[in-house]
Amino acid sequence: MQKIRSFLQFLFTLACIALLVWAFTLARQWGQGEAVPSLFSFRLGGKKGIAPTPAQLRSIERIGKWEFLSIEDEEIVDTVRHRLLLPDQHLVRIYRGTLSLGIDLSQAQQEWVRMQSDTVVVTLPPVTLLNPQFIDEACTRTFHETGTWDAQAREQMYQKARRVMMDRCLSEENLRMAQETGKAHIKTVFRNLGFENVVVE
Amino acid sequence: MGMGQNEGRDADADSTDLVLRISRQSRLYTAECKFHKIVTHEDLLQWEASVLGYEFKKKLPIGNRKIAIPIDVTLRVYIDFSDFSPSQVRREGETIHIILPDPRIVVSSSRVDHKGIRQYTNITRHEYTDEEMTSFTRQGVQSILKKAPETGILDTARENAAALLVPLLTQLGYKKEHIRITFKDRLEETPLELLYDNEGSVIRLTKE
Repeated sequence: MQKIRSFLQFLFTLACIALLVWAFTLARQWGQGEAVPSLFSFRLGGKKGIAPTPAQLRSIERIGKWEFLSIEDEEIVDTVRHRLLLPDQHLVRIYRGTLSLGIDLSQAQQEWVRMQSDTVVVTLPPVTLLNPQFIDEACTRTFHETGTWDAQAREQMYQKARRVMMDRCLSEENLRMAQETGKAHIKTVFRNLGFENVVVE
Repeated sequence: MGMGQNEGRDADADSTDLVLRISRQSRLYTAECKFHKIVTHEDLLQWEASVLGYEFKKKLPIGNRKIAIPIDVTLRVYIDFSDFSPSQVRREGETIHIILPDPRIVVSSSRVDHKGIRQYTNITRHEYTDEEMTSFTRQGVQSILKKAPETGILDTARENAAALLVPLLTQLGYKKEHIRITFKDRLEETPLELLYDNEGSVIRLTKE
């Protein structure tokens, strides 16, 4: 009995010393301006970020595309699945893309820039959409989602968004605006290069 | 997949316009690079505890889920001529010296290969939501952007800018050996955040 009592007293003394050491450590941390951790904490959770996997560089290309008009567009696309006796399921996504209108210099004539006496004559190729794949899917926002949706549904929504944005943005007015902007900018660039007389066709 | 898939029919997708912003530009894109990446996420439930400052972690054998998302990202590099002025052109006798602004990187497009997505979900967990998958895609594009300068795309853009302008100037009467094209700042010392065009993108490069 005496031995048990001594052992318990020993354990109690040990626990007190451990608590004092811990309290001293906390006080020092608090004195140094560090956050004081709680005595006990518990969390059940998982990882938030993606794993660090390498990116494969598929190609590096030299291009010559001069953009004169940039159109940022957003499109909300939704799809619904009707079910008998159960609530409908919805997926609503907001797609974002930037259409780039301008000229592709690879489509230009051999001598698209030439001197005629003291005049620089520039013949521009027609204005086109420089980036047919203009949707930045990483910027897509999910507005509302119920149920699970397969690859086909998402692919259809993407194509729908792309089609609608192209129909809206590739209007005659925008193409004309891109052409006029292009002529004005090219003229300015050549004038700044020191050529007084510039004609842009 | 999807309880209702065999029970009902799918309606056609509908769309409504939200935002349209048009900007006049004068950007010469001189380089483009394409990346492919498989973004992976492993969601293992774990128990974390802290007792008297000591931390403990234990993975639980239940409720795991994993996903792999293949993405294709196209980056383009451009020289901005919208502020090009006579002060950036210097003439010394027969020599013409053009000082171009720094090239800038922009995400031209990013595409998720939806058919290539693979996910494995324990019965005790719900499948990855669309919002989660989009968040992972965004993180994947962010990681590609951070590595972009290491590919040498900026050097390619500068070289190609010169390759496009030199023949142009020779056609206007300058000799090749009298043409000099340089860029404003030392790109090696420019922070990545300044090389990346944030305008119009929700992706923001952050310092590590």
